[in-house]
Amino acid sequence: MRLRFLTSEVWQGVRRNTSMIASVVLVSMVSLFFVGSGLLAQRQVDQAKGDWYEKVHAFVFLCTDSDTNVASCAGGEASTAQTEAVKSNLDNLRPLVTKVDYKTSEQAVAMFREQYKDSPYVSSVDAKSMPAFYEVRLSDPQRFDEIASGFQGMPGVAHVSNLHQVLAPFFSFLNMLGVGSAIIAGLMVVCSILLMVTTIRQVAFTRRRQVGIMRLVGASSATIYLPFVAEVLIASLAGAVLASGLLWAMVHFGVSGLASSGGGFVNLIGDSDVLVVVPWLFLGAFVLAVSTSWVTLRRYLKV
Amino acid sequence: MIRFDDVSLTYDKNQAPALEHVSFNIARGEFVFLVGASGSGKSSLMRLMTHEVAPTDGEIHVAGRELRNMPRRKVPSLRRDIGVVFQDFRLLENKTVEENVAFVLEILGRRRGAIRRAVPESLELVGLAEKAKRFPHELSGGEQQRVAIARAVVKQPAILLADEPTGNLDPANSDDVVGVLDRINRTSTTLVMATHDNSLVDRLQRRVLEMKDGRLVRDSTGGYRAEALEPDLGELGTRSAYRAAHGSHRLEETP
Ligand SMILES: Nc1ncnc2c1ncn2[C@@H]1O[C@H](COP(=O)(O)OP(=O)(O)OP(=O)(O)O)[C@@H](O)[C@H]1O
Ligand SMILES: [Mg+2]
Repeated sequence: MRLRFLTSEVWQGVRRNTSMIASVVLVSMVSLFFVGSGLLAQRQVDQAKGDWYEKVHAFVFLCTDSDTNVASCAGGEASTAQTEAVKSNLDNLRPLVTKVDYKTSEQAVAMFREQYKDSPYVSSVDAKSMPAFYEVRLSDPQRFDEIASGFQGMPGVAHVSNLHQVLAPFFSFLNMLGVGSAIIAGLMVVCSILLMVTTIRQVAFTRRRQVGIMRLVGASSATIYLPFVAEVLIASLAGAVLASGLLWAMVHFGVSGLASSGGGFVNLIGDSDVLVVVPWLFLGAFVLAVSTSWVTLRRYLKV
Repeated sequence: MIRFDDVSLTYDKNQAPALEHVSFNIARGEFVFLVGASGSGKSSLMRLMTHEVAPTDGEIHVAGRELRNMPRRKVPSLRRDIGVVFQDFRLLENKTVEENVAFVLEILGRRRGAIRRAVPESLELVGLAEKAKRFPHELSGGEQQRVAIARAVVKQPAILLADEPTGNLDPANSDDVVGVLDRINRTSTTLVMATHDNSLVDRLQRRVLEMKDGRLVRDSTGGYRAEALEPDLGELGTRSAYRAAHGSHRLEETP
């Protein structure tokens, strides 16, 4: 069968079965939308964790000029002596403390800009508001409290914080979102498979005479299957296009809106992440359509 | 061209076999009538020839192929050598006459130029060149059947199987259709035609295979050669005259 003929057959088939094709388009769209949402939630988690999350377990922020409301910062910006004292206290806590890194406020600003370069907050950050700090790695992250109690209130220390504690609710929310999307996506994929199977069987029934003739004339099974596979494939790829559009709209207007309304101190996913996810949706639509229709045809359309 | 050796066919283990110990040999270019009461197994024989069903027992050779052990992927190539025509025409209603005929060649992946040449030729052969642009529902039954024949022969099969092609037609249309089949047979296409129409069989005086309850009960071979006998259609010969000229024998009915 030549391409010209295949295209005209498929086009006629799509026109005659508009409602069935439309249902496959819509169900693929919804299922792929949830697949995409799950992938995006996963990406959001990965992106928000960044480099620090896994490596650094505690931050000891030193005083800046603006920390006047904190008692331990009565002396203004932490002095060199205070900074040294914090360092030696941290060193005394080995082996619980495995690694200590000092960052000046200039370095802190540079790192912040690098880490959250897509975030709308970056422009509002300047060296004065960013304190110098110690990054502390612990042999046992669970024992963060020992660090917190030991350094909170020490002269020159503004506060001690733990990225894990701060971000945990956010991550568990995202993980829930991811798992929820995955479950809905799984159910919807099952729906699309069932719908594709039904559609193919219905269409094969309405075209039984044509199929019978193809078979008797000596068409190979591939030739007989091809128009069916092509129709389902077109429908599910159309579904993928719509799902991609929905995901983009969700991220562009929803997530970005979240950021501008002050949605947290993490790097949020953006349009570029949708672009990374979209090819997988198309691949998924392709594999789903081709394998489902091929298996269905092998089963119900004996040649 | 078509050889059956002791072929039996059982569709359903709980039922009597549809065919039992059928043997015959049809040479290239022969025109053979397949007669017998309803349910005697004529269509089953044809279904075996196109390998729509596999024999329960026995060997079948069609167009140089042994069908019993034929792998599934070889079946399409067998069917490309066989054209089939049915009682109910089976045209595609939403395609014109020429599209119906071209459909076969499109499926087989022929080139556009080849299709443009072959389709009118084939319609010419069945006398429907002027009706190429009509749709099936705009044609008489006889014309529709001729379109079906054009579709069956457009790929130039070595064998044409016609399963009661005149079953739905009045005598005038039947004659048209049989005339076309006869013409096709003269282009050295082996032709097997199942029919209930005895007057037709008598008139054409060709080899007759008679089926009864799944057994071959008569084969009017008697030294018949396809090219030795060419009565024109419409030239009425009686069955007795035919027998006198060519002989006929009843096969032993095995119990
Ligand atoms: N697909 C099938 N499944 C089961 N039994 C079948 C099937 N097709 C035919 N048979 C049986 O096989 C026997 C022969 O049927 P077949 O169709 O070959 O007869 P026929 O000579 O073509 O009859 P007719 O003149 O009515 O077309 C019949 O008893 C029929 O009931
Ligand atoms: Mg029959």
